[in-house]
Parts: sequence; structure tokens; C-alpha cells
Amino acid sequence: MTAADEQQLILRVKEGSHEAFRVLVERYMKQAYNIAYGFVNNHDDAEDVSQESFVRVYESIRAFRGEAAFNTWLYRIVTNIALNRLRQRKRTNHSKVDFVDISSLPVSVDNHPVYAEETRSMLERTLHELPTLQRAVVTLRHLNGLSTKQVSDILRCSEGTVKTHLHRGLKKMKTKISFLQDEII
Amino acid sequence: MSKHSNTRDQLYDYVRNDLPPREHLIIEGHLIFCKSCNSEVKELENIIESTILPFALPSAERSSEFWQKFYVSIERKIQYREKLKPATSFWDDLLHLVIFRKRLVIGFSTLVLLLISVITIWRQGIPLSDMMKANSPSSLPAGPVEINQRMEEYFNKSKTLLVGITNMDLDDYSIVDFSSEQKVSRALVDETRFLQHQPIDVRSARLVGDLEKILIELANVKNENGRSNIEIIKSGIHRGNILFKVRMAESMYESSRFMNVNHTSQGDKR
Repeated sequence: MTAADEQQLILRVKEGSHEAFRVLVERYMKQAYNIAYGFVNNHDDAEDVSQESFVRVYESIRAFRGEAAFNTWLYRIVTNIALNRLRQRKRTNHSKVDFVDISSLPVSVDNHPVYAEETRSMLERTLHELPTLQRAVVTLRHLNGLSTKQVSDILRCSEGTVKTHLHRGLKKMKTKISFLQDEII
Repeated sequence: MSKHSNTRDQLYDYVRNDLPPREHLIIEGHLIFCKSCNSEVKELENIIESTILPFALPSAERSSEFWQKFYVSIERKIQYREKLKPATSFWDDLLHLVIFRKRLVIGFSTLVLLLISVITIWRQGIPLSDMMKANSPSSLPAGPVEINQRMEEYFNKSKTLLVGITNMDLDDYSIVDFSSEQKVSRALVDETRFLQHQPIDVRSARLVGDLEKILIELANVKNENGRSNIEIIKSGIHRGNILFKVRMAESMYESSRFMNVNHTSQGDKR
């Protein structure tokens, strides 16, 4: 789909076309879901956050002026809703992160899925422990492959800030993963 | 910021192959000579290898059925929200307009105020014109200048009439026709009644009152008793020194007319 086609689609959604809205949803739903998951670390919340984001898009599509790309605007909404969800979770002390309990896993380094599962769990745990902005940058840039420019537009900060936080976030993750791997061994 | 730290900021993008070709070449050139940046690159490659490559994206872990129903779930949420939304009142819409369309509201309010001002200023002129229209049949003077002119004419005509009456030779016993004097008197009585409602000075108002009595007498003179009535009127004129007073009043209004004309002409010259 070209940029012009997408603009036409958005115009039709503004006019109230459900069919056009459906096309937009199906185009961006998986990426929105991945971004949401990167923040909330569980499938239920990721589903909730990504669907809520599209509902917000539908309700405020008339306010979208096209100054930023549509996906930048969408991912900004996803990020904000996900961060709000994390704050609520922190307040209620209700952790719903799908961390794998490493101690319950069979000890088998030859069994790749288990080893991979452990590492993934470590990754999610270290991500969960990062400060908010570093976590957002790592999730968007590192885990979801968005460009530095796009991440800076979503988070409304400079590209330099994005690079700095990415560098620090990845360093911390590496340190923590090494530490956790040492613990397991 | 040094070139080295600039390069470090670019290393992640370099490893992910996200740099434009020119920048990519610059970094490659730098890496040939810089050991610390080289080890940084290797570290980043390890991180990417261990944190991204082995894992499927979270979206890939959901079934195709899940994605088929994804949009349906969104539609349901939208419909549910719309049912819950209370109907907006006129005041809610107005508040929304004021908050989100400030410029429009300011522009519209300015226009309305301007319109009200114009209408108010226009209506200020209406009462005067209405007064003029209401009093029209005898084309009333619009201001003091016209009143003065009418006063002058009134006193002039009254003077002429009174001079004629006082000079009337009534020794002759032939029948005298007073009809023309009566006609003039009646007209002057009408004029008297108009002038009595105008803003004139006290002395002139008193004189007009005295003249009214004489003019009414003259207007009611009957031809058969005319001689005796005229004698009575003549003695009244003499006793009150009416003719002298009328001459003085006429001069006064004539001179005020003269003054007005001079004032206007000087204003024009200016």
C-alpha cells in the first residue's frame, strides 16, 4: 500500500467507513501487538492494550492531521496505553508478567527450546527492570525494529536521546542476562 | 562531542544495517583502526543474536483464529463505548466548541459585537427623525434658527396688521370690510399657538400671549359692530404699548438672523 493509498483509507475512516477501518486494523494489528507485548510482557494485557489502541484511533481519527505518519501516531497511542497499564500495575502491585519459572524447567542444555525459553524469560525480566524510557526505546527500536527516527517521533524526544537510552538499556540487559546465566549455572 | 563518541552512537544502527550508505562506509573505515569500537560492535552483535534472533515475535505465538477475531473484538468495544456515551446536550456542544474552536468563537463574537454596535449607533438617530416626521404638516423647524425665523415673520406680520388697525380711519360711517384682517388674524392665531409650544425666551413668550388676545379679538370682529370693537382693540394696543414691543421683538430676531448668517459664512470661509 502506498502512502497515498493509506491517506485515502484514513480519509474514508474519517467519513465513517468501517470497511476502511478494518483494512487499517489488519495492516497494523500485529506490529501494535508486538509493541504492546514488549511493554506488558503477557499476552492478555498485550491483546487488551493493542485493541484499546485501535478503539482510541477510531474515536479520535478526526483529530489526526497527517503531520506524522499514521503508524507513528498509532504506535504512540500503543506506547502511552501500555505505559499507563504498567503504572496501574505498579500501583496495584499486580504483576502479570509471563516469566517462565526457571527452577521448574528441566535441566537440559542440549534441549534448545528449554534453553531458549530460559533466555527469553531472562530477557523479559531484565526488560521489565529497566527504567521506563530505556524500556520504551529498547522495546521499540531493538525488539520491534522501528527506526531511530520513528522511535524519536513516538516518544517525542531527539534521536540522540533514543541512541543514548538504547545504548544504556542494552548494556544493562547484557549485564543482567550474564548475571542471571551465571546464577543458573 | 568527539568523533569517537559520535561513532559509538551510530554502532547499533551500523550492526542493524540501518545506516545510509555514506555513513555506513565512514563507520567501516573507523572500525579498521579502532579496537574499542570493534569490541563494541561484537558485543552488540551478541546482544542481537541472544535477544532477538532466536525468538519468534509475540504476534507469531497467537493463532490465526485469534487474528481473525481481533477486528471483531475491536468493533464490539467501539459499539459498547458508543452505547455508554451519554447524549450530548446543547451546553456540552457549546463548551466543546469554546474549548476546541477558540478562534472561531472569538471571530464570531467580534462580528456579533460589531453588528450590535452598528445597530445601536444607527438607532440613536431614529428618535430625532421620528419627531420630525410626526410634526411635519407645517414643516416644523428642525432647530432654534428656524424658530427664530418664524418668530421674526410672526412679529413682522403682526406689526403690519396692528399698524393697519391703528391707522384705520373709522370716522366714516360706511360699512367696513374686516375680512382680510380677520383672515390674517386667524392665521396669526394658529401661528401663535404653535410658537407658544416652542422653546422661546420669557419676554417673547409674554408678548406672544398678549398678541394672542388681540389677534383673537380681531379674528372675531363682526362687521356690524366692527367699528366699536376696533376702537377697543386700538386702545388695548396703545395701553400695552404692544406695537412698540412687537417692533423691538422683530428687530431682535432680525438681528439674530443676521448674526447666524455671519457666523455661518465665516465658518464657510474657515
